[in-house]
Amino acid sequence: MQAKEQQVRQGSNSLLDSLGGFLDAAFQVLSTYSATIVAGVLVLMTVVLVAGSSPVFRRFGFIGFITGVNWNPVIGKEAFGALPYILGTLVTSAIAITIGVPISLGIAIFLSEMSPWAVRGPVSQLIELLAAVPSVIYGLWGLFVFRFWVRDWIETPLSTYVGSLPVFSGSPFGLDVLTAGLILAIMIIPTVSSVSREVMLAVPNSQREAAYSLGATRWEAVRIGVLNYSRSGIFGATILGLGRAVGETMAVTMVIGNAIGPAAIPTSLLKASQTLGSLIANEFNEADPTSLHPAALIGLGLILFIFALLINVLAQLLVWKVLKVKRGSVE
Amino acid sequence: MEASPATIRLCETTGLGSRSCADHHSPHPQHYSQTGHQGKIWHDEVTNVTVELLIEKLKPENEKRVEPASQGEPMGPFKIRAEKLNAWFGQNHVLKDISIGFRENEVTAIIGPSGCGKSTLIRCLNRMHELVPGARTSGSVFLDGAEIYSKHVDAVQVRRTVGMVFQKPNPFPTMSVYDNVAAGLKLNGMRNQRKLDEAVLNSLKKAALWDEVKDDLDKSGVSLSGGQQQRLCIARALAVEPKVILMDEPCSALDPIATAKIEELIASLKEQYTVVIVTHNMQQAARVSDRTAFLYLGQVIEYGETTHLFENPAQELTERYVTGKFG
Repeated sequence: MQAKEQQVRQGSNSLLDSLGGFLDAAFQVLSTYSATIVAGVLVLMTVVLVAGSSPVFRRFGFIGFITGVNWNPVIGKEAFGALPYILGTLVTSAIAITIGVPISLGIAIFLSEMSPWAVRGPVSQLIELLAAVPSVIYGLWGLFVFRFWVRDWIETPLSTYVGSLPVFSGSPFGLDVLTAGLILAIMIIPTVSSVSREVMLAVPNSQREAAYSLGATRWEAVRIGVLNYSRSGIFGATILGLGRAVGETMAVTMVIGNAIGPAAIPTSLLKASQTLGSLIANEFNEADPTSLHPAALIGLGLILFIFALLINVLAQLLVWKVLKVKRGSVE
Repeated sequence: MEASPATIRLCETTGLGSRSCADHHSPHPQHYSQTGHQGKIWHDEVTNVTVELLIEKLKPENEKRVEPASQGEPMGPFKIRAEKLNAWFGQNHVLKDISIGFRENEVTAIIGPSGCGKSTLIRCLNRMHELVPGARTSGSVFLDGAEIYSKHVDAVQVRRTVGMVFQKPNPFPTMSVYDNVAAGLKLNGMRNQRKLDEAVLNSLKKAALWDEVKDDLDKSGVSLSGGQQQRLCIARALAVEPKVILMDEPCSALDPIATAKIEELIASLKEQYTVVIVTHNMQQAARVSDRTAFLYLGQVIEYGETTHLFENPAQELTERYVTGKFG
């Protein structure tokens, strides 16, 4: 009887085994395809962007396109130059980093070093919820609420007291480079603060203890024990934030004022401008497919794509490096 | 033989008979009193520790070699002294009413099995224990007679006077050798470059590292070998001119040669400092220390001169531990 039982079991086993073997193979194929698709999408995107923008590069040249300042889609009078929008993107992102990163670091230090355990979880969750808000909501809020705060509380005083400086010239209106930069600052806080928090939590306790044992106060222990140790990770978090700020489109489009051509060069914080993303969003709908206009917009897209790719690769490398140090001998 | 008032009180409270009480105060360290009591409690004059006799639980047949832990120890001038010190991690009571003193210009080793509270004890001496979430203490620690747990004392100041060296070398990885040593001084606000140079030089020399790193002061602190890193950490601790140096198993991550160098260094440090070293290596305790305290389950079981404690332990439990029968 025992032998029979064993036989039965063996029989069912071999059946299950062969089914399992098939499922295994199928799963392997499926997951390999999924992984390949990701790489394929990236390659296809590059191909489409390069192909789609080639007419404009053929007409104006790559250098001509990225250094040109005029923008005129009218057939016969075409002029396409991306410089103002490249600058607009860089300036708004710079504002976002300058304002968003210190706030994010404060949040990360609070969450990893200062806060009581009970507060830590809920606050981190809340901040990560900020990342879940769709960017069009930020845009609407920026357009109908935040814009007026910026105009009344920041731009009016700036214009009154330091308006003679070129960087603050212009009349406060609220739909300009500064507002766009501030909205972006808020939008990068979740990314930068959560990555920096992770990096700070990865700092071995022995570093904090080393600082405390030398008679460091709490802030000094954070400074020499934690911030020093995690500085390249924090830099990586900043670059990730920059990546988000550079690529962000919807919210910026709604508050930046949408200037075109030489007027879009961001010479003052209180001036309407345009970013690569916002110009594409604004004009793609009305671009005449028979003209060079779509190619020019795709060219902007290509530049944006290259920016975002470079920034993200850099950021990943930096964050990786930190997490490797954590497992290294330094501990 | 005179029984001090405290002794009489102790004998009363512990319920020991007067005969055994007299025996307890024999001046001869090798003398073992005989008591017939079960579950005895005794009080140690020097360390003032009440210890329930765990020994009996472990080896009930051996009741004869019972003696107050540090009989024959003179009441010396203690540089740093804990009194009725208790420490907790959350609900976990790690140190139980510990009273122990450490003398200047001596190396005191603290030995005991894992989890007995050795590290916690020294971390209470510079108020590092309280940095752990959920950790708390009660009782007192006196440094040169001043209570360090007083409300008027800043833990930061305590840690500048009572330095610490940790289990794993923990130099600041983003700083150079020089900056590592200067880190504590810079925290103290020293900005004078010449004074900094001088202090770094002296500390590295005291830590027996100068000759090896004098040409590499700008190299990263973590580019050194493990033993060098640990000596760098010692130099860093010495730079702030502490009076007491606590070492928490400083050689446990090092190879024998590096360990020998650190031990040599410890021996030279006692000329200037009070050194307390936690170690799980009994040979090391025997080699480097003048006195040794044996901790078990958060209590001081025995405390006395190292040679005496190792060669002629008064407590059965100590003997069993130092001969490697448990732990």
